[in-house]
Amino acid sequence: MTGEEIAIVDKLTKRFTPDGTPALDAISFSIKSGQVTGVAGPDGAGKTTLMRLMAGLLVPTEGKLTVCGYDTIKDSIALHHAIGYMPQRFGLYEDLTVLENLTLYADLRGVVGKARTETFERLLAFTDLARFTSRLAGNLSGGMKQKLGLACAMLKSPRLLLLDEPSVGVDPISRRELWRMVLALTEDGVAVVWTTAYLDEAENCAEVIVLNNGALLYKGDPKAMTAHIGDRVFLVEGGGGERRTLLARALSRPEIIDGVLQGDAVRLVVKEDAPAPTAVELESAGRVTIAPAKPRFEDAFVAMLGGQPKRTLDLQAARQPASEGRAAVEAIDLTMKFGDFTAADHISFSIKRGEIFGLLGPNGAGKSTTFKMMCGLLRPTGGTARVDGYDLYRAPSAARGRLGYMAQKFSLYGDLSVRQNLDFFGGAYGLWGAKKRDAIDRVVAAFDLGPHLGVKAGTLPLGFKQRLALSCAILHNPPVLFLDEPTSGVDPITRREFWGYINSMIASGVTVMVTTHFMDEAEYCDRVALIYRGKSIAIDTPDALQASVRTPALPNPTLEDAFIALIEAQDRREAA
Amino acid sequence: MSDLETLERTDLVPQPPSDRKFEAPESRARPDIAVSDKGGSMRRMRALIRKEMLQIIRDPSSLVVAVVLPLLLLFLFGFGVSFDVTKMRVGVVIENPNPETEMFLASLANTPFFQVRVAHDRRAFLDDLTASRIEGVVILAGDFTQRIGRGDTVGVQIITDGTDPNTASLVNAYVQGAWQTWLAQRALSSGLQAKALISTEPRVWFNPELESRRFLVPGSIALILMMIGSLLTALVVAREWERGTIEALLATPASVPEFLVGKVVPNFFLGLLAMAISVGFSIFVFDMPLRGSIFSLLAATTAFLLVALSAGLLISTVARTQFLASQIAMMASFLPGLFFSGFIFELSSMPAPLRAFSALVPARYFVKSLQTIFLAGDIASVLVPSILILSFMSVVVMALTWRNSKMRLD
Amino acid sequence: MPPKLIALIIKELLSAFHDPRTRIAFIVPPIMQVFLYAYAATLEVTNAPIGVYNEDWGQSSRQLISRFEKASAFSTITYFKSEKEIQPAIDSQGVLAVVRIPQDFSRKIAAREPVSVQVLLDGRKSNSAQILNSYINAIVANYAVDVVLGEERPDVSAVLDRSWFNPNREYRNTMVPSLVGTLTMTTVLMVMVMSVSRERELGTFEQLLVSPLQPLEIMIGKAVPGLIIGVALGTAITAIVTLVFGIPLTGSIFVLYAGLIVFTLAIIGVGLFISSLVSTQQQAMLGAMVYMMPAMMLSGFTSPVQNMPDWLQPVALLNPLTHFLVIVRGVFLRDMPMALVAERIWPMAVMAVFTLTAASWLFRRKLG
Repeated sequence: MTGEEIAIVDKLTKRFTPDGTPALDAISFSIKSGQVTGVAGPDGAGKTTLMRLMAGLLVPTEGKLTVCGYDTIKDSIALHHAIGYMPQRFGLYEDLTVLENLTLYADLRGVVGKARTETFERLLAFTDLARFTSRLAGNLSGGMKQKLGLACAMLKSPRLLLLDEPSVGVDPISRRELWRMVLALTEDGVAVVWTTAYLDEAENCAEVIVLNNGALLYKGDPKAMTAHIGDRVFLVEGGGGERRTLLARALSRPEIIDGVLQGDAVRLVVKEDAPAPTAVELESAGRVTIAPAKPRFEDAFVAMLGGQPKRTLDLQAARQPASEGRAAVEAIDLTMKFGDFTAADHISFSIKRGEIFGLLGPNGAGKSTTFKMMCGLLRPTGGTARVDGYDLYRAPSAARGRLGYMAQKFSLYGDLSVRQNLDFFGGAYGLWGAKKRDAIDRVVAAFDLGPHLGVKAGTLPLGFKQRLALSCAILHNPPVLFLDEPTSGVDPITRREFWGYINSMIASGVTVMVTTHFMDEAEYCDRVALIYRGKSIAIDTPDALQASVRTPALPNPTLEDAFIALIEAQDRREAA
Repeated sequence: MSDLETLERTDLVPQPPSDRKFEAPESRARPDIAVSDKGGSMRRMRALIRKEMLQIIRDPSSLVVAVVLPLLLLFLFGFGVSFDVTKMRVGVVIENPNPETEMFLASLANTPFFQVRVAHDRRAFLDDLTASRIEGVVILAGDFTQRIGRGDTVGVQIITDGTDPNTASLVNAYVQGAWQTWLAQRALSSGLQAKALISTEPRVWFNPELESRRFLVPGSIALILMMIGSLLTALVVAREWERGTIEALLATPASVPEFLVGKVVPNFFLGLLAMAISVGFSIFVFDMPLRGSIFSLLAATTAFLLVALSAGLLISTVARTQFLASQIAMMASFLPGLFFSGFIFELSSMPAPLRAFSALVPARYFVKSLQTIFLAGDIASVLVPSILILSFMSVVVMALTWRNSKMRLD
Repeated sequence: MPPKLIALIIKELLSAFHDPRTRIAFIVPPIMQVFLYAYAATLEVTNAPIGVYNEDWGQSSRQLISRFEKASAFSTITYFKSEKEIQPAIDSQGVLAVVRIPQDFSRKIAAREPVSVQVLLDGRKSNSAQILNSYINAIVANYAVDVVLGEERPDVSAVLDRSWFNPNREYRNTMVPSLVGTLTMTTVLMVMVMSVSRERELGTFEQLLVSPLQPLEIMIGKAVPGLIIGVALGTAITAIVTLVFGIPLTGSIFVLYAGLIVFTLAIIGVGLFISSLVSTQQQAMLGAMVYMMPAMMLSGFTSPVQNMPDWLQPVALLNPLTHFLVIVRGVFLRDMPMALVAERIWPMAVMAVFTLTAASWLFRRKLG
């Protein structure tokens, strides 16, 4: 029955430690069937906790929770017959084939006989996995794993489908297919709850629940939430190379609560009841045009969460010496072969000083291989990699001393305190005595780590981990920074904070190279190299790439469209 | 920048359903939820067992634990540990060589287990004994011959290295034996009566060759099986936690007993495989006799394996990483098994509290059973109580595990 | 020492000991093992149940039996009334040995004719059986000597047996000091083996590789903390052994330390070698176990190297623990001088050099 309330949550509270802050604080809402309800919120907001509570995997501390008419704890077996659940790590058995995984879950859920054969056929067609039934789940790509995970959760046509961040780390094409599958389900009256960190997905949902710090901030139509800030969003175009300073200046004004780069333009959100920004106020040197822009859900989301945290990064002492004209980072015909398999095929690019350069591409395309070669982690089978003029493999110490590295998921020593981490990385880069003290003091002041010096790094909230990782990477004042998927899966607030730091570092002359598969991140780059199947198929600014695929049918392509179009063109070229 | 317009334009994504009309939902959308799913329990258990077996076959680490580890350990225990002093290096000090001393020396040197070196000064072998190059020093005093003639005591002095008391006792016993033999021969050849008044006639039941290996191997097998059993189950559950597969499993209708059975049954067969390999190796490489029946071997093994496997499951309820699980499994099975099973160290010689503790160690009953089955035969008075106690233990541990396990994350 | 190395060493030590659970794991199991070995590890036979079947009615047999009763090695004596009772008693391990005195025992003793007493032993426990047999033998022989004493001079010369080194032949004095070697080995090996693989799994190893640290520097940075841990642990156990159990250190403590340092270096080499070979923590742990088991069993820890088959003895000599155990037992019990200890140190030193070189070669190769 569409529109029926399939889950009713009444003042639900969950505490993991008796006297700590609750993970969920007295939230109340209901989920309707026949639609997709999104759950959005920053990292640590309580989204996964909420999903687990609804699936009967955690016990509520206070409050009532009724799902499909059952009490989640007392009737958990009956509940498990009625729902489908896909956790963040899919729940697939990597040593079993696609068919064996499906059979297992079918057996566990009681889908047998003719119903099973029909359901399998339907799902395999749906997920386009019919050709891979005998492939081990561990050998599937990220997108295929996600689809299989979804298929296993959908086996018994549940009344409620709980999906925890199902599209994380998946390429845009597979993401669209997931949505297609899920929306088709809702037509059959299934209720779907979809947790996400990607806010553009939240816009696709019929209703969205916004969580922050365990509290419920909003529940309702995302379009209404977006409309709420309708007249407060502006696009500043024409800033050109100045756009980062423009953004920094804009953010320093109190009435501007949010700002991001969008290709060559700067997008600003003003406070409620504040007037539109003017060129004079922004102190821009060149001619800029300021026009109202159509609001996005992300703008409303950030505004609801209180806007972007304003932090000024004081890194004056770290100003880089002026460039001598040589490129900051160079890759010349980089090639990596693993036996017969060519992971990277003659990749070349050159990054100018003060530029933010992105390596963009789906997982498995070769961008991580390229990145590792540029960091000195993987010796290329052919070609050269240079950092600040030094060949990484001929003068490794000198080259490595010139680069700072921030790995995905930060790779800090979680068991050591903030201070101990800083001490170690300073020492590892050859700093000692007064020089080390000064460097540490500098980053502690800049990133406001002072009150947390004695805290264990592993227990820090995500934003602070990011700051610590960045501090450790720049202690030795490197002219080049390499960032590996720095904000994948991270919530918009933390992401803005991070890019704020990066922007101020660019201002002092640092060069940055980023890898990402996340389209929005690519918008922050000056230029982007698209890596696909080991080759770099396009290198240009994001705007130029978008322009290159503009057709009458597609007058306003997004970077994602450009990505898909260029990949398809490459496929056609190779098939020919 | 993905606007709603973009999404709506793409054919792949249909319109959001908020303004669509819906047909009456098919029965597929609201299926019969068979809460009391008859036959479902068996089906779920079979599915879980099948999954577990496939994982075992495809993941080599379980096979390594079940096949390679027992062979390695048996090899080590069987060849590396032995209390039979087969070759005693002995230094003989003869201060005044004469025909008598030559005869005694010859009789010593001819004995198969002595390796003899001669010197004429007591201090010659001091370094050797300190450096552990010899096991003992036999000193024939200067007036050896006269002392013998007088019937005096202390004609022969033996100095052993007390660092290894076991070897010292055995060396002493063997030298004494050689001495008695030589005296008897000498008496016969010179017509003197020198037979001891009372002699003892030892008869050894069940292991007449008195090979220490015969008694060590059954104990080794018990220890190995205990370690493997608990390691196997502890690892497989911890692996599910680490890989995240357990979360999805918990959200299915599978219940705790179904889950536990799904883990125990395949690993039980793996344990039987390990046992078969161990027994085969012992019989063919170590020449162990099997005087009991295969049936009693199977019965004892089954009872013991169930204890070991359920212990591993119990460990897995507290340890959620493979590292921690294996550490605990090793500590909890190896140490008690080594000390308190009667495998090497004699239980009756331990202080009373430790002896009482050993009654709780399952390996103790299995060692007894194995020693009996291999060396003696099917002796019901030993086997029946042991197997019953082991079965009882497995029930208790399983019940504890059941109580401690919940199909939830907290 | 360059600051980079100091920073590495400090970080390693902090990482190893930050977690209270790890600290407990370093302290509790070793202490437990020390006490277990001190009290439970014994090959002596005391408190053994035996049975007596006396077919004789005379006084001599009763005299002999009273000697058994007074002996401390036996806990209970079961008196069998018929031959049929013997078999089930041994079968069920109710008694470990049965002494069977023949019918004409007292008569033959009175007539000074040789007589023989049968001793039935349970071979399932062959080691204890042999020891029990020699106890029983000794009692019988003593009785025999006492019978003829004063009448004639004993024809049989006794063999005087003394033990230098550990004269009371206490098992504890040999088992417990050996733990200085085994516990140091297990702890240092585990720490070394986990160090690289843990960093790899956490992702911090990449961070190290990207820094200007050379592979050799990284290895030294990991080896030095291992040395510190090994020597500290060895010292602690030595302290417990001497102070708590009162086992004296008859030799020189410097000699002991010389051996301990070289031994620890050899183990560190093995640990780092395994660590650079594997890719996950689980494999690292398996690798450590695969090394530790043979190392423990083939070192002379539980039973002498001499008793091993000839073809296996060279393997024992390749094991650093074998040599170190000789040193430990020698220094504790035999006042082993440096000259003799050196004979055992140089094989360990060779092994240390070999394993450390191999580890650093592997390190560099894998980092390419």
